[in-house]
Amino acid sequence: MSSTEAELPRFSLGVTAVSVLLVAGLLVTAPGPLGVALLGGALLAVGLLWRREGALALGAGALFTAVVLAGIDGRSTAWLLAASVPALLAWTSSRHAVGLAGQIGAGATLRVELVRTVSTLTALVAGGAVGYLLQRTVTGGESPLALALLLVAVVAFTVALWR
Amino acid sequence: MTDRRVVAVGLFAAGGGALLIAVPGLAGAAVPAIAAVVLTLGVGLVAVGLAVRALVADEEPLDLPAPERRPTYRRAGANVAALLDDVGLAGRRKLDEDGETGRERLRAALQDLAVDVLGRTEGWAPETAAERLADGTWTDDAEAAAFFAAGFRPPVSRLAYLPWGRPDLPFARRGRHVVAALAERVGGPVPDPDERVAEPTGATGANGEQTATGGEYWPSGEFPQTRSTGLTAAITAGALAVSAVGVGFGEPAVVLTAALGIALVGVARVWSPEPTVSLTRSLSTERPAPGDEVTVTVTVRNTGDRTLPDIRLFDGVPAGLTVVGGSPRVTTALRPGKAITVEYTVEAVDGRHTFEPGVVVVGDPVGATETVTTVEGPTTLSCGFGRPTTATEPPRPQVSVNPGRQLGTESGSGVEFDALREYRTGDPPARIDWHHRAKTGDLATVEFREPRLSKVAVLVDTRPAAYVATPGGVPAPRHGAVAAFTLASGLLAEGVPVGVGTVPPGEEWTAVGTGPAHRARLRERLAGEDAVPWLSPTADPPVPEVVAALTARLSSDVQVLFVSPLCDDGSVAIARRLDAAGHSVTVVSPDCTDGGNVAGAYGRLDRWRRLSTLRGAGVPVTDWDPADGIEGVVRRVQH
Repeated sequence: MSSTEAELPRFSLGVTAVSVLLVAGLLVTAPGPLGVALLGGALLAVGLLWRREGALALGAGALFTAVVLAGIDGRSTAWLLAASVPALLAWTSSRHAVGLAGQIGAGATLRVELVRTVSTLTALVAGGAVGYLLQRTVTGGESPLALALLLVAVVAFTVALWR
Repeated sequence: MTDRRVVAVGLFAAGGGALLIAVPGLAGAAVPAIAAVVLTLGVGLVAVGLAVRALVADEEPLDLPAPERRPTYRRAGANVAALLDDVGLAGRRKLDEDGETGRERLRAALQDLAVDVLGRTEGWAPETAAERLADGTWTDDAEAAAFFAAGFRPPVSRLAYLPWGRPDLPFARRGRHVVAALAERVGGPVPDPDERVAEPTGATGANGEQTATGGEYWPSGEFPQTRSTGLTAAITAGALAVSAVGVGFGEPAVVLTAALGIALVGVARVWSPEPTVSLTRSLSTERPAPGDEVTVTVTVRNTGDRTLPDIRLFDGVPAGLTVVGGSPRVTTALRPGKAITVEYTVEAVDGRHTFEPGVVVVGDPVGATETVTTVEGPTTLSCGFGRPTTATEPPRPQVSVNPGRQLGTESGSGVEFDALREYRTGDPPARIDWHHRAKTGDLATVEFREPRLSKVAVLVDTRPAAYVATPGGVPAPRHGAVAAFTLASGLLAEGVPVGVGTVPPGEEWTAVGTGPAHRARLRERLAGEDAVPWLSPTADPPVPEVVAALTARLSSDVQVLFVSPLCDDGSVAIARRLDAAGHSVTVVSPDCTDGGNVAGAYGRLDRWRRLSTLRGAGVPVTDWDPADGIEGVVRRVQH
């Protein structure tokens, strides 16, 4: 998709930039994860510049890792879920920007970008809300078997959706 | 396991986990802690394995078309561009499969050309030419002289060995000077020898340039096709990995972040839209003149009852047309019953162009899957192939290799005396030579020359080797189709029976005939894409087979007008063999070379050499620059 050297659609670029800034802002008190997040932002920029989806995935992965690192370090579940949303949004919107520029080129793309961003954001917020509610309804409990069963559930759902 | 069973296991596990978190006392009573650890480790390993598989098992994406421009055709001289490009530092010692280095092959090609060109321009015998090349006295250009006189490995500066950049190596530069020096001798444009030849293009990119040979211009096959964009696989891998990390650190919150990914993929799974679209297309004019700009208006409508959140259209611009304004691609979201209209402008070229079906890509709201389908909207644009514009003048009266009326070689009834032969019973009394009878006492019959119209077959070269074009230009066989129709029209107007075919002969062969209906048939054949397609055919039969098939189709008294760009040796062989088989051949050659750079100049020289070879063998060749229009050719061929 590198042949069409069209301009990247601005709206998706803006969403990506805002998302990266949001993640960085949330991590501003934790220098280690912040460094990882900035590296992720730089990788995203490289991916956008060279139109490489691999770099985008790596950059978003770094952003997400930064969030998880901060989460392990004693943040609340709500914070972790909320901070993961912009990390994932940065990835999907940057992918969309590169995909649109490669397939459609410069053109009127705002409408489809808006639809994509709103629906992705809705799905992420809904998923996060379900996770948060699950966590709120059943608090406490440090049983390793409970964690294991949750893991089985995640694996089963992911596999079912993947196929 | 089927999806349902997997979901059931997931639900059971989620319920159990929630229950155990709510009532922690249950765990110790039900199973020992060691079982939990074993289960965690086992499922964690499975998760990591599945994550890796998800990343590896990404699907091969379908190549989406690039409708703006024509397919990329081979350029004349592309082979020498590749040879010049092959002269790298690694090539200084590397041996090829056939034991020749790229340098040796470049030198052999240029030596071959140089000996031939010097032989034709200076009249030197091959041995003399080879000697002059070896001692470097053939040219004033020191660089060009050194190419043959000095060795294969001229000294290279140490800087060239640095790992970055691609240095301009002396051997390649000298090679370019040789081509420029030869081009100067022959006349015509002389390329700048110090300008490096760009790497030959032609590889089929994911969404980029397509070659005419091999790669297809427009996607074909079974539609609709649903494919993954890679998002699902990446999210699967990420969710599984993050769950494993969460379990490893004993952080249920981290495991919960997988819910975000599952939500995204879930939305894509639940709302995977069907490509329910229709397409209508209209043209500002359906019969433009060549060079006119035609506005194409395309409307795509959502005919389903669900919103299409992401729809992308690639309109099926015919392979022969190039877009000069606007874009044939559009993307939007469409509610049920709504439509979007897009306009773009194409430049008309000769031929009947049938639009390809539009390619529509419909995506889900989060971009995890795409469904690719094609939507028919039959549209045809016809351009050129009208009445001949030149006044048709009589052809050469003498016996000639050119088409036209000729004096027949057979005796019969006529007005011009041919021979006297012995009387045979049944000869008309009016043809008995009574003077001869009076002189000798024998009956003899006078034979006259029988005037006959020669039949002409116009053959267009459509072998893959003939598909050459200037950058972004029309391929030679399509120029050939225009020339063939104009020539055939002119001959038909004079009453000469004409047939039209291709080399190699295919299904679309029009036998020799006359009359307006026949002319209309020829126009159908040549304007359309079936006989002379815009994309090079894949089959490439060897020359003897081609000639055998042609001679089987052509009756012995048919003259041949062969329209070929003469960009390979096969075309020369075909012309000569047909000529030798008794079909007096005339060649009309559209010039599709571009002498602006060194590779193009090599192609031009190579073609010039073929033209000279044919002329030397007594086959008349008309060199035709398609940019000048066809009228001049008709006049030149007939006079």
